[in-house]
Amino acid sequence: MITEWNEFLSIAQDSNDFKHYPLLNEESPFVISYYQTLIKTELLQKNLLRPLQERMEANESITDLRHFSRFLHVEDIIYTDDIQTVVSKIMTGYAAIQSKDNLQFFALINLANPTEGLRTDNDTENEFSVVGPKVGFVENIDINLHLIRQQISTPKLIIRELTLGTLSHTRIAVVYLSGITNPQHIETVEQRLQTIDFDIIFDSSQLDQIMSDNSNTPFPLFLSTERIDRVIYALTLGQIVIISDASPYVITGPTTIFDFFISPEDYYLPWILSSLFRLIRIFGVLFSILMTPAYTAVLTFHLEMIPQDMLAPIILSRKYVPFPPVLEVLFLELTIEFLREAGARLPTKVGQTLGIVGGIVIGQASVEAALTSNILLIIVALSALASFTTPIYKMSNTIRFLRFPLIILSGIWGGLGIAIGLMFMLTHLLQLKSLGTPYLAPLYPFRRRSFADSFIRSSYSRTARRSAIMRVISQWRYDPDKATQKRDIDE
Amino acid sequence: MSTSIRESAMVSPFFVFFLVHANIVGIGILGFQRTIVSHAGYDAWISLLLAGASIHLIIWMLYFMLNAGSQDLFSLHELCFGKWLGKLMSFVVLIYVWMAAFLILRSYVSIVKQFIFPLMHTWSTTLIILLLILYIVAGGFRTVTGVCFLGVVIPAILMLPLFLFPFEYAHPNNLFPMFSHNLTALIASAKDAVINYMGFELVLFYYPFIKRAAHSQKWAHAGVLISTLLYVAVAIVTFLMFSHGELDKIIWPTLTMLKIVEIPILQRLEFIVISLWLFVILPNICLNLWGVTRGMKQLLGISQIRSLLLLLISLAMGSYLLEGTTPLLMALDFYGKVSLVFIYGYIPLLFVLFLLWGKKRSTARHQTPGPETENAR
Repeated sequence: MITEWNEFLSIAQDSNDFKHYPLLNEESPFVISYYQTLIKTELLQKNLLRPLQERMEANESITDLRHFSRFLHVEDIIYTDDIQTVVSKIMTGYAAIQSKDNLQFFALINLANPTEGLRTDNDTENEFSVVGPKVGFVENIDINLHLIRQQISTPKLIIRELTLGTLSHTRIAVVYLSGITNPQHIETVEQRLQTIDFDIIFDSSQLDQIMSDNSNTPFPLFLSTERIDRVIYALTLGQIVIISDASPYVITGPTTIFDFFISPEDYYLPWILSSLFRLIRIFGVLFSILMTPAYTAVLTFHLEMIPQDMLAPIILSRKYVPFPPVLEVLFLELTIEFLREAGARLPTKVGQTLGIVGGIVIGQASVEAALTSNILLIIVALSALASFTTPIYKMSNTIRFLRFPLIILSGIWGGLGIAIGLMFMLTHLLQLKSLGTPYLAPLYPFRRRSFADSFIRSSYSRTARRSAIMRVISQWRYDPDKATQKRDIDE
Repeated sequence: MSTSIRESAMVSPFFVFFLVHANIVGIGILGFQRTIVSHAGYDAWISLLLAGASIHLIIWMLYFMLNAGSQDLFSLHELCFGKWLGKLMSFVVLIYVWMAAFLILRSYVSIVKQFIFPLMHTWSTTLIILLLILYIVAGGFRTVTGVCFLGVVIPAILMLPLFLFPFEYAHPNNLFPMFSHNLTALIASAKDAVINYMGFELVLFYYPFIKRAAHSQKWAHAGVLISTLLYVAVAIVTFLMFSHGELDKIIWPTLTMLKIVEIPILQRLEFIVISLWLFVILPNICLNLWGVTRGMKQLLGISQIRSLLLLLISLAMGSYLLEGTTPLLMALDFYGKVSLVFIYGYIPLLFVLFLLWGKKRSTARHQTPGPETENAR
């Protein structure tokens, strides 16, 4: 026991920020140990040193550690003789006090300073919406939990915490609504989290990958978001939310592929508009994936498909291009990818300038140098634009990726190659599962009722029922009859 | 013999509609018109209805036997023929099912060659499609069902509208005078049409994978009904478009008909249709192969992934050996005859045998678990 403590001391004292000294003066019967970098010095003085000094001056003799709780105004004092607890508490910003008579017994006082150096609020700049709240999550789990708790004020909101990461000891919270969320999903999540053995967890996106159902897929199986409203909505639909400390992104699951094309703004606009916008997003994805492969296929193999009137401009624009279409397409797609990567890595202002320089100058110049055709330039630019319509960043990355195998397949087998590639993709989607829930639902397995909020958003009176895909315990969110009274004409 | 099936591997009865429909409609719908008009002329659409009606009857027989206790083809054979003869018959049926898969694949590749890539070697296309099949069938029955579902829905959305275009050039007079052929001619044409309905018999394989399987019968009938109507519709559009003399010279009338479709930015849509037809033929091949792998597991105890690899190699070799259109047409003709025997000869025979003693045995087996009583024979 005591040797364990001494081992810890000998390692810790190599570090300059570790403090280990007798309290107040040399004659004092108590020894204190803590990490200076983890605690708030103000708290140490106000909560520990000053009251102790006052007692000393009043000539009260304090010999027992247990007397501390009598005069210290700290809520969080732990008495223990378990060295492991002591060490882990010291590592999270507690001060450990021992009596010189009995070195095996500790009082642990919370002086932690968790929010030091962290921002306390966040704009939702990566998932922007014009309408709706602008506050997003931050890097602190307590603030994040507070933000959620503030929105859902019911005791049904359950927060279960655990610690993960052998080096980082990151706090992870699993949040769900009891009585709504399927207990089987909760069990799956907790079981998967508990079996994780990993050294450092920086971000919830890592958890996403470690605990996903299929790690060999380009598709995200959990939705990660920084928007509070999206998380609240996910909770009310019976999904589970996983928060990791030090991560401004929160992941929700189980998800289906359609969730990734939903923007919170859809719920703030009239349902007719938002349905149209959702369809446009899905069409955007299809366009983005299929347009350049289609160009390759048609120009390589199926020139007959172009009507006579259109053939002339296409031939003219490709007149001086020396490459086969597939190389031309790959060249231009790569250029766009370079621009995108560079734009993402560079500081905002430089990135913007570079985008303009790259987009306009390189594009124009490569057409004039006869490296690509005008029409292809338009198609590639449009399909890049279309891929940005996806609200979730991870999904738009996936879409970015999917194009390339299709381009190569279409360069080899033309239209048949595209069909083969699409079928591979669809089969993969058929097999994917997120927390055991089919990824392609409500399409397959077919759930007619869940279509109300999938690729369209129906009116609120039609989305009163929770989606059956999540296999929730209670189905109704609210009474739809109360919301809309049915009336006949002229009544 | 039979292993119990996990709930998570099963599909809901509703999907039987897609399983039946997707497997009936396949390569045949691209070119069935020419064969059916040889006897009944342009009254052949009545023959299609007749053939469809007979398929309903056969489906009813199949479901009667399956519902009455025999879970699938293999236990049905065992009930009707006893252990060893039953196994032999199952094996023969497996070869028949394999042959269907092979002929569909081979026909599709030959259509691709004929219409899209006249100068291409067929082996590369065959190979990539076989890879795709491997990926699908290795995903298990649920994935195969999913492919059946998508293989109905996607082509329906994208292609059915195309059949409205030929109406521009329709000659309604082609259909008249109606009912000018006698019943014998109609039946003779119906006999030629039946090969296009093949694929429904796979219910003998996937029946145990359906939740509340007895309730799926109505969906099976619906699948046959919709397929029949689709055939009739396509046939009538074709008859309106081509005269009898023209039709005699066209191998794939449906595709030829789609050549006239033109939308402002694209023409010659048959390229898209043939490419997307992959979605229509894949369910056929995949479900057939899945059935064979399951059969080999039940009969010989070979793991499904191994037999799948074996089957794919056999398909590749077969495609390599069967070069050219003439042998393919001969093989298709042979297959048509076999399937006639299978549907109208073999299944009714099974039905009679099942009524004679199989049913008694199956109830006996259900009441007293243990070795089945041989004396019932």
